[in-house]
Amino acid sequence: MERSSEQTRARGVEAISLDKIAVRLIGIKYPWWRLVVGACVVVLAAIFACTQGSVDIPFMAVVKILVSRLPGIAPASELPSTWDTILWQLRIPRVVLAAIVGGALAMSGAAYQGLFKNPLADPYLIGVASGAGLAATIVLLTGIPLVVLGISVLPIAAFAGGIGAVAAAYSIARSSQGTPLTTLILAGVAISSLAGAVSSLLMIRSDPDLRPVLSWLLGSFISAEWNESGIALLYLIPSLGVILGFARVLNVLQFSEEHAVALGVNVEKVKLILIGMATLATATAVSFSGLIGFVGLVAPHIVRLVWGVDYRFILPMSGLVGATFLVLADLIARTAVSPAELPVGIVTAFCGAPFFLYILRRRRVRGI
Amino acid sequence: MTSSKLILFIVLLSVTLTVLAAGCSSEAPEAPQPPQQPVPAAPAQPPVQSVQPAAPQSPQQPVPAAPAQPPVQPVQPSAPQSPAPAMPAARPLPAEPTPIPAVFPLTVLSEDGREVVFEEPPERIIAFDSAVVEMLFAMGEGHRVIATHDFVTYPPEAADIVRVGNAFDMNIEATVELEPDLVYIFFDRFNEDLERAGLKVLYIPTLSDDFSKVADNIRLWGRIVGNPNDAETVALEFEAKLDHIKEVMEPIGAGPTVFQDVGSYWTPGQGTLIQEVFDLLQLENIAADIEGYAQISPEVIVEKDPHVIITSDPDTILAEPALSDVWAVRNQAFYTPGSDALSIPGPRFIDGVDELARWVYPGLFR
Repeated sequence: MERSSEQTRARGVEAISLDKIAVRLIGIKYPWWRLVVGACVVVLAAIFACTQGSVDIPFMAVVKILVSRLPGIAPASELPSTWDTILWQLRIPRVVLAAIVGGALAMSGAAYQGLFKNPLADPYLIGVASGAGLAATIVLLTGIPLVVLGISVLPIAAFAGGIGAVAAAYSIARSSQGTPLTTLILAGVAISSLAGAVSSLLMIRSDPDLRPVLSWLLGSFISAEWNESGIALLYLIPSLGVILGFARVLNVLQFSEEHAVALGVNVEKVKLILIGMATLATATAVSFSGLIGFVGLVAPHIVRLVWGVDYRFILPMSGLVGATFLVLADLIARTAVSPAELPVGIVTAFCGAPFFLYILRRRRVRGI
Repeated sequence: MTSSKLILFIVLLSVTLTVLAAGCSSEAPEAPQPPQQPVPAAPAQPPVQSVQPAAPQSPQQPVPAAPAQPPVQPVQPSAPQSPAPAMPAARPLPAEPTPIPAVFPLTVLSEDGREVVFEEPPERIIAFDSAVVEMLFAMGEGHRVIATHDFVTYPPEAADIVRVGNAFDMNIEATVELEPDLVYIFFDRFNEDLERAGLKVLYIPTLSDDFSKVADNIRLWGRIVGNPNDAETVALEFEAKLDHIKEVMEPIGAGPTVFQDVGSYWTPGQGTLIQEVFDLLQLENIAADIEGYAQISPEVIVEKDPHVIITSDPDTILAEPALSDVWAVRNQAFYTPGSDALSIPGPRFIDGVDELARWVYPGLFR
């Protein structure tokens, strides 16, 4: 509401006055403390998640094992060594990776929603998911060895597939006049359909044991490892950093491309950079966790519905909300039917959708 | 913009649903890895009998096939008796069984409640199932199989058989054009279409509860194709091998713990044929709490510390740092099945069991 009225006012007015509006928008007192609270919530959720799992480890034992890793403290030798392995090699890396992936998906989703000005935009909008899905399906179904020279092939293939699909959509949509966002979305949809069709064809034509493919397509942190978190951060810190740096530009873009141009924004360059960085972040997240839906769509909306329209706040806060959400969703995924596991994508949709509907209903007056 | 995004959603959703549907239909009868297996069962009465499919209620005579059958049976046919026959089991050479008469008309009960009547042995069978194809070839009746599905790979002679679909889909037109006398299918999606086309359809779902019923299935097919004697030979051989394993296993107490990885930590639990094999071989499945097939938490693998890991791809397990302290990994106790026998409840299934048994208990089996 508020935005559209500003937009109407801005229309037909000099670029100068638009600039004033932008300055006013950016001039709001920045709510740092909310981000600090958000970060604390992520940490608390993560600690809680570390104490729960299919193998029961008493809370005090968890604390002892964690503390024993601090320098100068003797290892908790009276506890079973399997507990140490379970915590350090399985549970904690998994919680950490879930937080990282949740944050990356949510921030990429926020960037896409800002760039495309489309409430249905999520990080998978222009083909990352279907490209990565196709690559993963090929690896899982065609008998390519999953491990070559000690390196897992699946994440690399998924990463390349995701990037490849977006690159294809982008290069199709690009023309000498620039890259119209609608064309880009349509190209993304077409590429997604194509990749999806090939994946389905592979699945229906190949060995009928589709379970591993299915669990990948629904997303899972079951094989999370420390080095995956490390590699993910290597890609995510720069890409998400760049996205954060464009927060002001995203604010300006909320008016219209023409006005942004009038304000001196090189819109085509911004599009390329934001799409590139969001794709890099999403492809990284997807390559280690499979296709986890809903986080990237819902987290930014929740932030926007509850806390307003400033992208300098929406971007980081979405990351924190996404991280908390995915840590808790994965907690449910690994404990709900223990000792078996659920794909985390089922949990995100199952728990996220009702919560989102509740927020929507509470805030329906404001509109999206 | 909005509508295009919606399309994307619908596309993704439909792909997911398609996949789910495909996954479900293949799993509906909770099979081991691959899909296709039959489940006829229970020896039937001769003149006008109806064969009870699989249902546990059938008062399963363990006696081989045909009823009106006096003579001395050379081998104790196994069936679900727990105490193995105490005989020191010289590998029971199927010593000249008395000929069993082929009886027609024969009525077989299809799982969907229809009675399928055979006036004479079907000459042109479309067997949409790996196990049935193997059974027919094993009893020397493979020539009757005129078509099957894409995933049938055994025996080698089956390679030339026409394919009319994969395990999820069936080309109805091609099926009709082949003019089969009988279409056997292990799932029921196409029953109506096939019947409307005037074909004789027998639907019996995948065998999933008791692999000793494989022998009964073999006998059932022997009666259907009018060759109960060769079927009996195959069935007796199956039962003899099973009895031998039971007998060797009898004095063995609790064996090693085992974890089977069929990919991405998917593993069989209760109510699977594999669990039955584990029970027979005294292997303690670390996933015994799981119902059917599910993805098991790796935490549980570390905690239960299995002694044996069954996997077709040890490299993925070895690449997992969290599992490096697991007994089976430290000792390289990986069992890689030499064939797909354990996933197809046909005559070779027992060979798969035998191979696993010999690997777990070297020197125990002749």
